[in-house]
Amino acid sequence: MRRDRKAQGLVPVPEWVGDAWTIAAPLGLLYLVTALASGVSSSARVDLGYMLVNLVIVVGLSIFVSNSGVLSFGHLAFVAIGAWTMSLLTIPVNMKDSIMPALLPVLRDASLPPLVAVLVAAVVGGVVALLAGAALMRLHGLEAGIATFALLMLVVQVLTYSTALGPRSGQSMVGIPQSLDLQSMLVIALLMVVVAWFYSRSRSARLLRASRDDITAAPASGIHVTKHRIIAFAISGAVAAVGGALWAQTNRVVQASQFNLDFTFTTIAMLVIGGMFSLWGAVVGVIVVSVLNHVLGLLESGLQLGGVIVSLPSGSRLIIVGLVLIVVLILRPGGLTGGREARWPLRPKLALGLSRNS
Amino acid sequence: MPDTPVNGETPQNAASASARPEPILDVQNLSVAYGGVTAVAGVSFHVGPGELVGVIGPNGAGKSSTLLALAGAVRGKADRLTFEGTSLLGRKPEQIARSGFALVPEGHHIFGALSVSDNLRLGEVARRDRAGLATTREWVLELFPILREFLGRPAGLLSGGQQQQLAIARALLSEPRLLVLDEPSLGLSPTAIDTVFEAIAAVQQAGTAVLLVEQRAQQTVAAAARTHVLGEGRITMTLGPADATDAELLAKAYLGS
Amino acid sequence: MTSFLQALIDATSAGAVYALAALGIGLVFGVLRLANFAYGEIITASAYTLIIVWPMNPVLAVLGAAVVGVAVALAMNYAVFSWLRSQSAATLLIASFGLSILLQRIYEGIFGANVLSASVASGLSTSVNLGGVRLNLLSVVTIVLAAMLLVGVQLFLTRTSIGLQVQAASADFRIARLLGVRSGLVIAVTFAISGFIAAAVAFVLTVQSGTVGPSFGVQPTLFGLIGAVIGGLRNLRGAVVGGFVVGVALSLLTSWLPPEINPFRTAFVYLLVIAVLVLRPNGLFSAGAGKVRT
Repeated sequence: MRRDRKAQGLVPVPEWVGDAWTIAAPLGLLYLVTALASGVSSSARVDLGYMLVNLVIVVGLSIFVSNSGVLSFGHLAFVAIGAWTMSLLTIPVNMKDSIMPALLPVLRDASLPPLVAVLVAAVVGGVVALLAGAALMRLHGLEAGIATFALLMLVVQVLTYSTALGPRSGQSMVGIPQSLDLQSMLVIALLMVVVAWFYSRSRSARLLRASRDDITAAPASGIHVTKHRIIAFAISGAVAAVGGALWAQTNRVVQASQFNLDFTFTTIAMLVIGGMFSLWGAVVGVIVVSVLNHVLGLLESGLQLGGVIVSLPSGSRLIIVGLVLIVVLILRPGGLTGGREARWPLRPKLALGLSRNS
Repeated sequence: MPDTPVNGETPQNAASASARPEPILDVQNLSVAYGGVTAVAGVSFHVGPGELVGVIGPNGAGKSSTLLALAGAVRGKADRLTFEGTSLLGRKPEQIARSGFALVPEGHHIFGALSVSDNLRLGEVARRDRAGLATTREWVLELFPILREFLGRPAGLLSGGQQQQLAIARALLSEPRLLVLDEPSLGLSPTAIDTVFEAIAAVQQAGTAVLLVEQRAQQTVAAAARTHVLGEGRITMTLGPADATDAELLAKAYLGS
Repeated sequence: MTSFLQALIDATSAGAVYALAALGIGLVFGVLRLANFAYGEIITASAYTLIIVWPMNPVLAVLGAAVVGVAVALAMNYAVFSWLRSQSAATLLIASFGLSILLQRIYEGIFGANVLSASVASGLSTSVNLGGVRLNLLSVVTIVLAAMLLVGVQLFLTRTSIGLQVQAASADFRIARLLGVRSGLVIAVTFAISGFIAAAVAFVLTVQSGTVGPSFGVQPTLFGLIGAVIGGLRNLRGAVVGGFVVGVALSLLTSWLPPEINPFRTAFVYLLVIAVLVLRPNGLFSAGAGKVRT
């Protein structure tokens, strides 16, 4: 993140290298962190699984937020839908009968291999996001934030109380097989980063970014902005639903009340700490907050450090993540990455994205 | 206006001649930049006690930026920027307003949802004390009699000219020693403009110094002791009242050639 | 008929609570463009004070709750929001969200995750007989309290110099400062009043439930905020009415929905919220509703 003022005098690296770097850096970093963390400890491997899940969710969220500039507090709705789809499609039929006696027959009998179930989750999440987006995407600013949040609450309420779609009110779904190992999760996470990257280079995303403004500003002009927002919302909903599917088979207990404010906060904090307006920011944010979470988790359960047991009261994790979020917002409102995509770190520097200073 | 001899002198001489009494506002080498864009590039001028000083120039010449920097609403850099001897640099707009400096910004920003009388009450916020308040109120309502009729009415229902009068009246209620006006005639009808210029003359006669930024060159030059012409962030020329009749000079000043 | 009247009074009192929350949130939003999600944690702080102190001394509890509400609100302003003044409304909202979660965990650390109970003002939980209609005394007290606060705030905003300055700052902060309105003072006063209102909300809710937990204030804040947004955050009266409407809708749906779909009452409210936002994006009562593009 070092800023080289002397860069201007240097011959710029060819543009395609800079372009390629914006995808190579997040993929490389993600791969590296996963490879390193999986060798640390078994508790690190557990947290690593959740990190990959959160990565997919936050990348999904960032597809919408970073390109449209509109804040969404409701993406957990699609995560919930993805988790539900995954659970209903992979829990064995006999178990479904006992925990969800009133389930719709078609859902009761449905059973698919895990990877296909993930794909179906993406489709369901995408379709719901498309329909919701068609209704909501003319909104902007706080109204958009509240409307997306209302959508999340609506979905959670329906999933909590609807026995045709799940267990009796407020009870949890269990028996979800853990069918994807860390390696396949990593592949899916990398794939989602690639999806987000390709989307961000599409004409639709470029048009959307051109209209991106402060969320308090006047509504973006023209009907086409709404159209491109809906597209972004649908794709981002589909990716978030993939995150939900992964979450279901990582957590293996799924309950509507889990898609709550704390979870919403964690995903938004990751995005904002990394930098709301870039894919690189989303990836960096998830990794930084996950590592922080893991270390704090170790401290909460008591860590032996040179003969002294250091331990934090439980619940300090969210306090510290909340503090980090506020401090980042005060000191660096653009997030750790400043909202930029990854930049070629070696000499000669890229001219790309550097502001011209006289 | 104090007896500053200006007639028959060149504008430059006029400027230095009136520098004798301690100026109420002293600006030396003021510059303002937004991001990398320079709006004001080293402007120097002063306003003496009770003096009327004009600033004219085309749009984008840096007039409003100069005033906003004086009022503390945007950050400026200057070798010296003092009001009644104390520096304005780094002070908050509300502190400056409370020190007897009143800016009426461009576009008569009145509070449309509040009544005329509430708008006027807000003008009293910056007063040092309430002594003489009744007299000021009475004087202001005599200057702008139309406001008295509409005291209870939402200010948003006033016409553009009436809103401008209200904005000036509101500023006067703080009993400023310096009244700064940013294009008060903008968008007004000819009659309304006359009312505004008459009021400005009356304010000056009452002893308040006035810094008047305008697009109406002729009227401003005629009324002001000195009128500085601003172009691309610098003072390009300074005119005296005698120049008001020189149409060619005014045109030249305006076009910045 | 009697039950209808009772339901109506109950609905009005529920509406009054959310109208107060919307008022507290709307006041601060007007001046700062901050939709304060952490408003709930001010309510919670006052509620803890009431529940803990009431058994020892009721008068002290009420005074303490008011002081704590004002103090927590001011502390939020100085510790967090005063550092973010130049940021966008989105940044402020996210920061307040973070602050909300953080404070909930801090309350959990101090008071434990379980609820604390005490019966606060149990005398209000009785029914009174008014002309043959049995009314919940608390509902009546809530309505009166809310009405008093609304009138009080209205008088403050229109009759006092500081109140007028708050109105001016809400309309155009830049111009207000040029008139000598002290930004720091106006913001602090606004936070203090919103903290006082939060204490009133806490009082009504603790009398109702007799318990308090770390996330006690989340629900009223959510509905207050939602109400304020659908009523139009840029216009305080609209915000208050919006909060009232949400409360009334919740209460009426609870008493009138048939049992088999009653669990979905909250879902209906959210559906209603989405519908209102889609149909009137600038708020139910905003004059600018004509700006809706079709």
